[in-house]
Amino acid sequence: MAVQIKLMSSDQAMLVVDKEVAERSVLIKNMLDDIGEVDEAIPIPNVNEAVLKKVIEWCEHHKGDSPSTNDEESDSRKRSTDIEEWDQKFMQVDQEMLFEIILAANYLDIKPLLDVGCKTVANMIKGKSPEEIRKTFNIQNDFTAEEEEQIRRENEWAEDR
Amino acid sequence: MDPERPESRQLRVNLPPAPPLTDEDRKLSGFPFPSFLEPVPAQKTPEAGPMMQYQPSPPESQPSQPSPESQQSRPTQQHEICLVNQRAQGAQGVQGVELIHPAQKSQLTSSPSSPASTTFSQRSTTSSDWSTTSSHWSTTSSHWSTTSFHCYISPPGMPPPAPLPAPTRPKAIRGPSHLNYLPIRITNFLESDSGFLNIIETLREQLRQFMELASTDRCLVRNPGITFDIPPTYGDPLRIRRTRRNLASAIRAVQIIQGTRDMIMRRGIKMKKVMQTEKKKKKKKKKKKNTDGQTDWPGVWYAKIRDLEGKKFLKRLEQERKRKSKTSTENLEDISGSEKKKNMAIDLERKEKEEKFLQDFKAGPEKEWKIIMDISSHVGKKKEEISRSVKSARGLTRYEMEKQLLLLKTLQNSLSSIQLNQPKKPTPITSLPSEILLSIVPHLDYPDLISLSRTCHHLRYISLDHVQLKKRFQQAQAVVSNYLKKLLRHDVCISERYIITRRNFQSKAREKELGIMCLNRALMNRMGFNECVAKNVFREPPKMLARYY
Repeated sequence: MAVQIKLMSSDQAMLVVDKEVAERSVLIKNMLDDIGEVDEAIPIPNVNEAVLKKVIEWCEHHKGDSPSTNDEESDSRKRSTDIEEWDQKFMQVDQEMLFEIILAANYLDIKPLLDVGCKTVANMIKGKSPEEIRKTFNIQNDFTAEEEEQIRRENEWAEDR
Repeated sequence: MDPERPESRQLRVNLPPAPPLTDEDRKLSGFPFPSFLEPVPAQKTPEAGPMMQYQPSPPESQPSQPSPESQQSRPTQQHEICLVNQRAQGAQGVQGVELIHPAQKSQLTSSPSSPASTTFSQRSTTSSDWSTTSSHWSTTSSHWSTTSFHCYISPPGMPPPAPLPAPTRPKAIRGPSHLNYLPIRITNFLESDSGFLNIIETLREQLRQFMELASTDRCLVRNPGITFDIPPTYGDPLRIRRTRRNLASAIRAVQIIQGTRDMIMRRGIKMKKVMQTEKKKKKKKKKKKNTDGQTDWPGVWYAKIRDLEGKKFLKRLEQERKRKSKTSTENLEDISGSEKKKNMAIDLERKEKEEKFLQDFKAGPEKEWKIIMDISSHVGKKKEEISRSVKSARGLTRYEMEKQLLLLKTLQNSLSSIQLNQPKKPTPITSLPSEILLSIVPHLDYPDLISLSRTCHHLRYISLDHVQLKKRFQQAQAVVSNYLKKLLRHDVCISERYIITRRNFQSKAREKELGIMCLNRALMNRMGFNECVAKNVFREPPKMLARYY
C-alpha cells in the first residue's frame, strides 16, 4: 500500500495524497527527506484548496513521468509550445486559476507544470497584436503618444519584412 | 518700605519741603499721592551752598542780562528731594549737575565734555534769562513708547565754571543732536547743594533701572509712557508740583508694573493650582461613576460603551463582571435558598432588560442611521471602497463596528451576486512576478516579443531584457552546434556511403558559386550602419536598442 501524506491548504483544508504524487513537488520532496515520515499535515500556506486540488490532479496524471534532467532538452522543450492534449484540457480554466496554478507550481517547485502553464500563457500571447494582448490580459496601456510613436518607428524595419 | 515688594524700594521717593498740596493738584494727578510724597520740612545740609531764589523770567524783548546779584541771590525756599533708597543716598561725590547761564552756553559748546553715558539731544532753547535746555531721553523698546526726562546733567568731574562774562543772547541751536548738548551749570546757587545733586543722580540711576525694567518686562505693554520733568527752575512752586506729580505718576506706574507682574505670577500659580484641582476632581468623578454605575440597569452600561469608546473600557467591564460573578457565587453559598431565588429572578429581569434595550438601541439612535446611510451609499461601489469605509470606522464603538460589519457582509454578498452577473475582468498578467514572466518570454518568438513589448512599460522591460536576449542567442548557438554535431557524426558518415561523380562535383561547385554570388549580392544590398540608424533599425549607440528607457 502506498504511503499517504496529508497536505494542509491555506484555507485549512486537508488533502490526503500519495507520497509518490506529492513528491512531484520538489519542495515537498525535500521537506519529507528532511523530516521523514510525519503523521501531521504539511502546511502549504500559499496555495488554496481549489488550486491545490488542481495541482494534485496534474501530479497524479504525470505520476509516472521521468523527471527531465538534461538542461538542453528542457531548453529545446521551452522553445516549442506544443502541449499535450491532456495538459491542454487541464489548462482550460479561467485566467485567474491559470495564474494561480502557475504560482503554485512555482512555489511547490514543479517545473513541468510551470512549463505547461508558461506555454499556455505564451500560446495565448502568440500571433496577437499589442492591443489584443492588452485585452486578453487586462493590461493598461501606460505609454504616452510620443512613446508609442517612437516605439513604432523603432520597430518599423521589422514590420516591413 | 514695603516689605512684600523689595523691588519697590528702589523707586520710593521722598520729596522734601514743598508747598502743601491743593485739591487741584490732587485732581491733576488723578490718584491719591502716596504719603511719602507729602511735603517734608527742609533738611539743611552742612554742605548747602548759596541758596537760589526763583526769579520770574524777564520779557524776551529784553536781552537776558542777569545781574551778578540776581545770580547769587538766595532762593526763598530750598526744595530738597531725598530718596529713601539708601544705596542712592550713599552715592557720594556726585557732582556736575549744574544749570548754566545762557551767556555761558556759547562758550561751553566748544567744550569736549559732553555726556557720554546717556544720549541727550537738545530740544529747545531759552524761554527766559535762564536757558532751559530740555533734553529728551528716549528709549526705544518694543513695549515702552517714550519717556522724556527734562534734566540738566553734566558729566561728573566737570571743572567749576569760570566767572560769568557779560550776558549776551545765546545762539539758537537747531536740530536734535547729542553733539549740541550743553551742560548747564547752576554754579551760583546749586553747585554745593549736594542733596539736589544726589537726588538728580539717584533719580538718574532709578530711571535707568526703571527703563531697564521697562524694556525687559513684558507686562509693560499695558502701561503708557511716563514723562519725568525736573525743571531747572528749581524754586518755581508750579514746577515743583509738576515734578512731584510726575514723579508720583512714575512711581505709581512702576508700582503698577510691579503689581501687574506680581499679579501675573500669582495668577499663574493660582491657575496652575486650579487646573490641578480640577483634574483631580474630574478623576475622582470618573472613578465614582465607574463604581456607582455597577448597580445600574444594563442600559447605562451600553450608554457608557457608546460614550467611552474603546477596548479598554470593554476589558474593564469584563473584569468587573468576572469579579461580580465571583462575589455573587461566593455570596450565594452563604445566602439561603430564598435569597438565591430572588437573585436569580433579578438576573432574569436584568437579562430581559438588556435584550429590550438592545432592541431599542438597534432601532433608535440617529448615529447608526447615519452610518447605515453612509454604508448604503457604498452599494454599487467596489470592494476597496467598502474596505476603506471600514477602516474609517475605526473610531466607532464596538456595537457600531459589529453592526457595520454585518451590513458590510450583506453588502458583500449582494455585490458578489451583482458581480456574478457582470462579465469578469481578467486578472492582469502584470500581477505575476517577474521571474514567472521571464519564464514565459522564452517561449515566444521575436515578433510576439515585439508585440508584447508594445503593450506596457513593465512588459517591455521584461521582453527586451538584455540578459534574456543574450541567453536566447546562446541557446540558439548551442542548439545549432548540437545539430551540426549530430549531422557530422562519424558513424553516420560511414554508414551512408556517398558516391560523388565528376558531374556531381561540378554541379555542386556551380551551386556553391551561385550561392556565393547570391550572398555577395545580398551583402551588397545590405544596409550600412548609418542607413540602419536612419531607418531606425539601430539607435545610437546600438546598445540602447534593447532598452527603451
